[in-house]
Formats: sequence, structure tokens, C-alpha cells
Amino acid sequence: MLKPLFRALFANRLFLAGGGIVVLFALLALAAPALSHAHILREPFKQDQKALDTEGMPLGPERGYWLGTDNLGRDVLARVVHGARVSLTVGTAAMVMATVIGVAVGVLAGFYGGKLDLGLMRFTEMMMTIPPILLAIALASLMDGKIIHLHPASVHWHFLDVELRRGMVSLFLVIGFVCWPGMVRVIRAQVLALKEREYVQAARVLGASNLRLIFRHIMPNLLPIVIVTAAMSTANTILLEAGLGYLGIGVPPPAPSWGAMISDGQAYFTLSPHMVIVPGVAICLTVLAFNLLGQGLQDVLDVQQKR
Amino acid sequence: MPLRLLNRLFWSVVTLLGTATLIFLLTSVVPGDVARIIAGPKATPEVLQQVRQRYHLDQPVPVRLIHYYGQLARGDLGHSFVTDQPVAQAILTRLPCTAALCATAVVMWMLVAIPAGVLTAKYRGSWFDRAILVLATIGLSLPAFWLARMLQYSMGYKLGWFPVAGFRSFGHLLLPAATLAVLYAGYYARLIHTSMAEVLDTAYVRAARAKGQSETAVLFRHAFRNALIPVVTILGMDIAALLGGVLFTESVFALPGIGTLAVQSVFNLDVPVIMGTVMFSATMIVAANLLVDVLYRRIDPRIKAAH
Amino acid sequence: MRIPKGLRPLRRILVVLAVLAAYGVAGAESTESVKPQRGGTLQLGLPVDWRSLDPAVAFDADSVPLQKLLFRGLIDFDDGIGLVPDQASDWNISPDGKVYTFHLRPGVRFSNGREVEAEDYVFSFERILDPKVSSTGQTYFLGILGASEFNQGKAAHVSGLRAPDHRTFIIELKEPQFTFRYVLAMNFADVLPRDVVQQYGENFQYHLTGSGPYRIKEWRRNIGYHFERNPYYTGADGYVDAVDIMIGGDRTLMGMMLQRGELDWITGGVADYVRFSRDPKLRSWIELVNTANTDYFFMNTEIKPFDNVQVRRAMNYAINSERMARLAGIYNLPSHEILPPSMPWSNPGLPRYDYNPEKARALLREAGYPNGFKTQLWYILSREDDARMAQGIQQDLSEVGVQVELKQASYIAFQLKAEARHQVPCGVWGWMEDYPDASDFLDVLLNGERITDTDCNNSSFYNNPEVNRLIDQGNASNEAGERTRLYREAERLIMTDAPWVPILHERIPMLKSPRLHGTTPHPVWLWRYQYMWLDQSANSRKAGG
Repeated sequence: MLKPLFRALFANRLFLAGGGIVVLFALLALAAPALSHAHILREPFKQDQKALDTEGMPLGPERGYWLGTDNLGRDVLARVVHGARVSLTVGTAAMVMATVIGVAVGVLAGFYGGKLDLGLMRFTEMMMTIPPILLAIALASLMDGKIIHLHPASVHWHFLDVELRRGMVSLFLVIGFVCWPGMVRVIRAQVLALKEREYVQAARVLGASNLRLIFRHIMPNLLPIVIVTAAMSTANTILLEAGLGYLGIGVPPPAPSWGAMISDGQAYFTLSPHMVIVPGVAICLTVLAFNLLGQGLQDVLDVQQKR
Repeated sequence: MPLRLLNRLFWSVVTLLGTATLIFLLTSVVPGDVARIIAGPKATPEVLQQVRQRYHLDQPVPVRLIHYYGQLARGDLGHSFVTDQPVAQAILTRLPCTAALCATAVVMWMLVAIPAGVLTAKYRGSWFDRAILVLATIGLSLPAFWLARMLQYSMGYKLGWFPVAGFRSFGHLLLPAATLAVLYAGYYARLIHTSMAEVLDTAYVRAARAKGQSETAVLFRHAFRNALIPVVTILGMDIAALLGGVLFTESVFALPGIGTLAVQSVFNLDVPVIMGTVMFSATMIVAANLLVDVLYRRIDPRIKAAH
Repeated sequence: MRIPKGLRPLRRILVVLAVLAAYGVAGAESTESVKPQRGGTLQLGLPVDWRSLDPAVAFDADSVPLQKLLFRGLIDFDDGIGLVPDQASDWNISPDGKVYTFHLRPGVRFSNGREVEAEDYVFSFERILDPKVSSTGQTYFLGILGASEFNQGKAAHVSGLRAPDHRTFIIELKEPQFTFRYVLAMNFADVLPRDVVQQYGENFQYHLTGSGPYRIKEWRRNIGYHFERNPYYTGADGYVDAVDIMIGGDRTLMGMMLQRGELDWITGGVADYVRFSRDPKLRSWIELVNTANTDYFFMNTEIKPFDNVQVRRAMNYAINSERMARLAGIYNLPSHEILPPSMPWSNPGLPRYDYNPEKARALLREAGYPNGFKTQLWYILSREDDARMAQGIQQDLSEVGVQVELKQASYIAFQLKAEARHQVPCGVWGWMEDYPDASDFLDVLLNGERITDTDCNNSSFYNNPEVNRLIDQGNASNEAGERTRLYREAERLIMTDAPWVPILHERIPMLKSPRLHGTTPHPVWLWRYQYMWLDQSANSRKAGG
């Protein structure tokens, strides 16, 4: 059953190009620590005074630094490759979170209809009135080390303390939280259509429970559209991660985040443009890859994306 | 019709109230002693107490929320912690810049997107169609802050064709607008393409062709007009979102728009300004939604019939 | 004084006016022999807006020099720190040093056309003492007879301020105070039109009117300012026709705009400094300005493990100040001492901690931390140089086994945290002198008697009774040699206790367009925009882009 699908996928040039880049970056990200360990790649954190010129400025692509060095004397190539770890991890985790929430809300709203639908959709609409980047900034800037006590002040259950600290986890939570509303409508529309299909109606008449209907009959048929939306939304989550990093509220330094690398490099743009160009190209390629992947999947799975 | 409009209006207000509540609750957990941030580090206890009273900081969250609703109802977005300027005033003085930028950008990208979209719909599947698809995907994949820097450096600084930054004349808007145009043109070309493709398949266009009208007349007089309706809907929403602040483009080009205001306020933890820009942007989007909905019904008789 | 993002140092002329020799320009040009030209628009770029330009309120490094464009007072500094009459025609001080009498120069007008009267001075001085205005300069004026009574609301007027006629202004002090004449040259003492201030009340800050060479034509908060000539101004200064100030934009941007002739005078970034210095055509655009500043890594001596002096010394050996200074900018001077070299207290007897990670590890072992420890290093997000230093320190410390988590904060958040007890274990910060005296560093930053639970400048919470005693004695002493001895001894003890790792003394790379002249730094005002002028024949560059 899957064979023709694979054949169609591998005949699709968009899917191949996108998927190829994604796999390449993912492999590089996975192998980065090993590569650094084996001295094929330099250490991404190592600041070397010899990797700065006599006036303390970054080196261009020379002296064995393939993509030059940054303003602290670190190898840009190593940082870009290690940066893929941050970017892909945060992007994928945020995508999974957004997809889980988006599918859950979309299915509940579409399947049950009525007041639940109204309530959920109003909430979604409300979330959609705030531009994601603005909301993400507002949320991320609150991650300032404040500790929230989930326990009453009288007892000292400090294991219940939640520290709002910046890092990969808080970052993907923030991005996931602002990205899910975009998915709900697509999923809900699909569920509404599926609900009316004959076999679903037949199952209902035969006495299938709601849960069974959702998991046996609706969910599997949602899969194509979920896959396509997920691929495309990964492009968005990665862009958001880069944007927050650029604004200085992404993962804290010295972690190599592509967005932060660009903002570090800006002050040196007129002198060492590679500090900005290299991470920028990395972001473009990755985002493009996920977009192409989504396009390809969309063509092959024959899913109509509606805004 | 008036009843429906009232209904829509009611829900718009509810949505905005929900947004206000959400953003209020989020910012009320802001780290640090807000009164101290307002009054400055060297404030005396008396001044701190005055500040707490003035901003109702000494009261529980629900009471402050009610105060906030009341404030919003009067169109008062509060005063900036940092400059003490009324937030509404700050936003309004910056609106012309953002609006001019958006208008220029929309004109630019539509000038590219319309011919590209129409022609790709006409020659579906050709190399031209594929090329535009790939270009559109690339456009969607560029991080705005990076593209803006690159254009600024190359076209502004190196070649000297455009001013580098600031907002002193219309010429200063060209590069930032071009940045937005690059990001959006491909996307709109695809939208127009899809919409045109649908219209070209309808009986209406086939009839026009059968009557022996020239192909240009068919394409632009008959098909394009109809195809434009859904595009305009989305354009309306996008313009509303852009008016809420073009964060990255504005801040890279140092344009005094709403986006730079939002970015600055985040760095200063200037909570009223953060809340104000979010509320402004949400209001724009809700209003655009409402407007589009009403206009849509006027223009397209099919929707009227459907209800 | 702490320097927020993008703000340059502010000089406070205070009681201790010792040798003012701190400021020099490396490679200064000598265009001053050329006769200044009038005309043109001076284009300035500043990264952030200031809170206010009201001379009674504003007191930061960027706005004080600009205020001289809008507001003027009785006397001013000459090219050095000598005093000359400005809008007073003459002045004298009574033999007992208590009564200052000024005769106002006739024909001096506010920018709304009304003539300046002695009553305006009485009003402006009383305004500073009005607690409702919360003037930053209040304390300087409390020496006037009846000032405290007025300030506390016990009197309707200040009895020591009198205007017997429109042209005569008399100030009577409670007791003789030599430095009061310097107070009169500060921006606070500039005159405001009493009718306009009364008309607008709290909103005067949006309707600023003064007797300076320019007036505000356009002001958009956080966006920009446009100053035009005050048509009623009769003084000789104020060479340019208009001043255009752009707010916002990062340093790279300003560097590009300067090069394209869109700006005339900016604080350069590290990269722009190097780029300009490498280009033979642009090299002459640089003016490197010395400042009396020390950037340092502070350790909170009340937080473990920094309560241990061995650990603090280990940090001094572990951090490579030379490298940090270079990371912040090639032009900075690495520091091994607390007082900037511009101060006449240079101290040969200081203990020196040269970069030596081996020794640092040994000290940590002795202190009982053979495997290092974990800590948090705080710094200000908006200060790019600090961000680089923080990452540099992080690496240096990891070499000796200390794991540092970097914590960024906005300027205000950082200040609130670092100045409160038990909050910040260590961090990067800087101090710029307010007045050229050792006490401005030692007493303000490291005197343990000044420790408070919040708002404490001593962010190391360093408290050594012996040091406190030396500083107190130094403050009280009038004898120069004795003070030097006491302060040197205090600095030596502090360096031995090592609450800081001094990192660098900053220099500011100013960049200016070739058409701009008259940028020689002033010891008090830093820049005097009113004496800057534009060479109109050099304008062709701008047209060519």
C-alpha cells in the first residue's frame, strides 16, 4: 500500500530537494559533537586569540578557518554546524507541541461542534489576533529568572518551584505556544468534512463510541494534512527561533544560535560580512528545505491547504 | 444583515476583551518590582508608594484587570514607564511611518505578484510556473532581519543607490519596502495563481472565450477581476498584521514605526508599551476581519445566497 | 556614575575640583586656528532618547551638552575650567563670600522674544528646590539662605534669592562656600521663562523654552529632534543654522550613515574604528577620547564561594584582562588597578595579578575548590562590549574549572539586582568618574560603611574596616600629600582583598565627518555643540554620496 506513495515521493523533485537538505542538516547536527571530538570540526565555544587579527578583529575565510572566525575568535563553521542542533531541536520540538495542541483543538472543535466548537474557536481566534512574533517576544522576555511558587507560601515544597529561565526548553514552549492557532482551522475543516463521510456515518450507526470514531476513523485520515502542515510549520518555528535569537532573547550565550550569530555579527558587517552572511544562509537553507518538503508532500499527498 | 453585523461586532469586542485579559495576565507576572522599574533605582519609599497607588500595583490582580478594562474602554493605553509618554500617543505618532512603509511595500509586491500570478495560471506547468513556485518558496524562507541587513549593506552602503537608514524622505522607505516586497511577492503570486486557476476553469470564462474575446481581455477583464476577491481578503488581513508593527525591517532600518517601538519596549521591560502595541495590533486585525467580512458579502453575491 | 546603554559619561562638577587633567584627545587636529564658518545643519545620531531635556531634571551624559544649545545661565566655563560671565554682564562676590551679585546683560531674550529678567532667575532657582519638580540638582542649591525651609514647605520663597530690579540678581548663602560658583555654571542654573513654565506646569518638558542659541522646532519621542536658531539670540556662538538629531539605530548603521554624509558626529563601534583606521582616507575621521572609567568584574563577597579571599584572588589570576580589553576594543587600556590612570593617584605599590591559570587553579585547590564551582555571571544585555567580555570571562574561568552561567538583564533590571544584597554572585560593570578624585571610586564604590540592602553602589558588598577608615580619613583630609598616601594605601588593601577583577579603562572612538570642526572635548561639558561648525566647501561629499 505504501509502495506507490514512496515511488511518488521519490519522483517529486521538491520533496527530494527539501528532504535531502533536512536529512543533511539533521545528520550534521547529530554528528557535530563527534566531529568536534575527532578534530574534524573545531570546538564551537573555543575562543582563540590567534583566530583574531592583530587588531582583534575576526578573520575571513583563511588560515584553515573555512568560513572565518567570529568576534571572539571562534570558528564560524563549527558554530554554524553546532547551531543546527539548537535550531533543529527547538524547531522540531516546537512543531510537535504546536501540532499536538492544534490537532487536539481542531479535532475537538470539529467533531463535537456546538458550544465546545464555539468556545475553542473563539479562543483560537483570539490567539490569532496577536502576531506570533510579538507574543513570542512578550513571553520570551519574561523568562528572566523569576521563580513561580506553585505551592502555598506556608509549606516549603520547593520542588514545585518553577524557574522562568531562558534555555532550549522555555524557548520551544514559547514558540510552540504561539504557533498552534494557525493549524486549528485547517484541521477543523478537514474533520468537518470527514465527519460527513459515509463510512464514518456508518460506523456511528453501528454504535461506535466517539473515542473510537475519532481514533479509528478520523485521525488516520487526518494524517496527510497533519504531515503537510507540520512540515510547513517547522519552517515557521525555525524562523521564529532565529528571530528571537536575533533579538537576544533566544537560548543564552555562548550557545551557538543562528539568529544570535547574526546579531553578534551585525556590528562587524562592514568589516567582516561573513559573520552575518554564513548563519543567514544556514537559516535560509533550513527553512527553505522544510518549505520544499511541505510543498512536495502536499503535491504527492494531494492535500489542499487552505489559509 | 444588520443583525449579523451586530453579531459579528459583538464577537469582535469579545475577542478583543479576551486578548486584553490574556496579555494582562501574561505581563502581570513580569519579573522584578514594577514600581521600582517605573520610579527608577534611586527612588525613595514615598515615591515608590505613590507609584504603586497611581498604577494600582498595590491591589490584587482581578481589581487591576478591571481597572485595565476601564482604561481600555476610555481608549487609554496607559503611560510608558520609561518616557512617561501616553502609549496611545506614542503609537499614533509612529503610525504614519509604518503605514507609509506598508503602502509602499504592498504596491511593490503587487506590481510583481499580479503579472507573475496571472501568467503562471495561464501557463500552468511550464518552466516559468515552476520557477515562480521555487522563487516564492525561497521568498517565504528568508529571515526578514537578515534580508534587510543584506539589502541595506549592498544597495544602501556599497552601491549607494538608496539611503541607509532613518526616515527623512520617501526615498528612505524604498529599501525597507523592497525587503517586505521580496518576502511577500512570491507568496502573493502563488495566491493569485491558485485563485486564477480556479476561475479559469469556470463556465463563465469558457463562455467569454467562446464569444471570441481576445485572450488578454479574457484574462484581465473577466478572470482576474473575479480571482482578485479572495486575494484582497488575505491582503486586508496581511496589511492589518503589518500595521501592527514590522518589527525586524523597521528596527534594522531604524525607521520610527510601531515595530521599533515594540522592540524598544521589550528591552526596557516597558510593560504598558508592550501591552499597548499588542492591543493595537490585535485591534487592527479584528477590525480588518470585520471589514473584510462585510465587504465580502457586498462584493460576492454567492456568499449571500449561501446563507 | 553608571553608564546606561549608549550614554556617554556625564561629568558632575562637584565640591572636589582638583586637578582637571583627565581629558585629552589622541591625535587631535588643530583646526581651531581656522575661523569658524556659520551655517549648515549639524547631523547627530544617538542610540537612545533621554528622559527629559529640562535643565532642572535632565542629568545624563548625552543631554547635558545638548542643553547648552537651548538654555543658558549667568556664567559658564571657558575652554578649561575657568569661569566667565555668560548672560550676566558682570558679577561680584562679597568679601565674606556669602553674597553673589549679578548684573544681567541687557537685550538677552528667550526664544519666545521676551527679555530675560532677574525674576526669571529667582523663579528658576526656586523651581530646582521645589520637591514637586524632583530636580536631580536639588542638593547643590541647598546652601542658599532659606533654601531648606522652602524645600520643606516652611516658606513660600527662598529668602536668599532676590531681584531688586529687573537687571540685578542677588544670591545669599547661609555660609561661604567656595564651590558654589561652579554650581552656577551647571546646567541646573540655566534660566527659564517663568510665565511659560507656569503656563504649562508639568508639561513644560514638551514646551521647552530657554535663552540659548537654538530652540526646538520639532521633537518626536524616541525618533528625533530638530533644533532651529533662536532668532533673538545675540551671542557669538551657535555656528550651525540647525541641529538635527536622529534617535535609534545601532552603531554599524551610524557608521554607514556617517560615511555617506548623513551624520556628522557619532560614537563609533569597535569594528568601525578598525575599519576607519585601516582606510587612509578615513583615518583622519577618528578622534579617540580618553575617559576616566574602569570596567570591572565584581564578586559579591557575601555570596559563596566569593566570600573566600583565595577564590577572589584566583579569579584575578584566571581572567586575562589584556584579552578582555582587546575583546571590548583594541583602543581600550587593560586595567590592573581600580583608579583610572588619568587620576593623579597612580599607585606603583599595588599587588599585581598577571594572567596565570596555573596559579589560579592552585589557589582554588587551597581554598577547597579543587574541582572548581558553578556560578552565575550577570551583565547588561544592551552593552555589546560587556557581552563579549562576559563570554571571554566565561571561557577563562572554565579553564580553571569554574562553570559560569551567563545571565543577561536589561539595564534597569541589572541595576536593581546588582545593587541589592544576596542577589548577584558576580558580574561585569563599569564606573565613570563624576569628578576627578579618588574618593569618587573608593568611597562611592568600595566603602563598607555605605553598604545598604538595596541601591548599593558597592555591588561587591565589600567591607573592610581598615579600608573604610583610610577612605574616611582621606575624605576629611585637606592635605594633598596625605590624601594621596591614604587613598593609595586603601587601593592597595582593596586589591589585596580582591573584591574586583579590574578589566579595562575605556576610551571612546568618536568618528566625525571631515566637514565638521570644533569637536575638541571640554573638561566639563565633554562636547560643546555650540562651538561646532561645518566647513561649507567640504559639502560636495554629501551631494556625491
